[in-house]
Amino acid sequence: MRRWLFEQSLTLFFLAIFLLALVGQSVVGLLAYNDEQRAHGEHGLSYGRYLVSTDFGGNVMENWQSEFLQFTLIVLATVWLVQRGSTESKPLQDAGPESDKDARVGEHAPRDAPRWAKVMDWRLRVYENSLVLAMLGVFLGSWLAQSLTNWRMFNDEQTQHGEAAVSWLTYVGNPDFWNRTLQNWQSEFLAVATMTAFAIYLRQRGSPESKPVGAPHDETGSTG
Amino acid sequence: MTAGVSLKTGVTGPQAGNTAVVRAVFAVMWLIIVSGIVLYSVVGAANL
Repeated sequence: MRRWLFEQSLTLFFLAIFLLALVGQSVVGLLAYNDEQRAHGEHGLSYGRYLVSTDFGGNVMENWQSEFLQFTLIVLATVWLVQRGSTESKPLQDAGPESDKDARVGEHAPRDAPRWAKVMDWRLRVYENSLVLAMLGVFLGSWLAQSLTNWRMFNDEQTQHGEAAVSWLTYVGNPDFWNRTLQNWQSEFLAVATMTAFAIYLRQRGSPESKPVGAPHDETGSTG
Repeated sequence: MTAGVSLKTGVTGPQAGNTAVVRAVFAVMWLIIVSGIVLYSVVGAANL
């Protein structure tokens, strides 16, 4: 059991702090929401009702979509784009899709390779892109959910101010939607650019996100 | 951890149980993500 926990500790640690942060967000989100409701002379929501509200759902989905967009882009961009000296980059000469030999597919697949890596048909095409497809699917799904929840919140506000409600299609062209979207995207893109560039000169001993402490600054694609 | 035989990999002993539990963690993550997206798409579409 202890061995198993050790072997899965990275995933389990992040899953645990994700759940703690989500619960924390729901509690303080409810407090803030109800404060505002009461300031407008309206009734607050129960905790259970708040969990399935457009306010909480919209806030959760806004952040999910940008995180999964970040991973979609970094997985895809690092196939072709490189950064000399960064751990986030492949060695410069490896830019581009790998050969079948390097990717260990088809006749080059080892005996214990995943089944879909051994076949040279559509299954390989799907499997060799499965990480990006999964991340892209989650990004698009959570972005759609964000647009729907934000749309309803926007229309509630419109109605409260005596203005006409808008259709979903109109809303996704509205500055309110793009303001909520781009404020999340910009922070993700800055974080990726920073991590890529900082990893050239800075180190964290023992982390695979860093080069070995003594590695030269122009050594590309190595991990500690 | 459950020791046993993995039908997919043919691995025996503790490693097989380990593989099954890792897959369970993977499945739980998908469940969280997909249920979150479906739930809040419905919440938005139904204007809850």
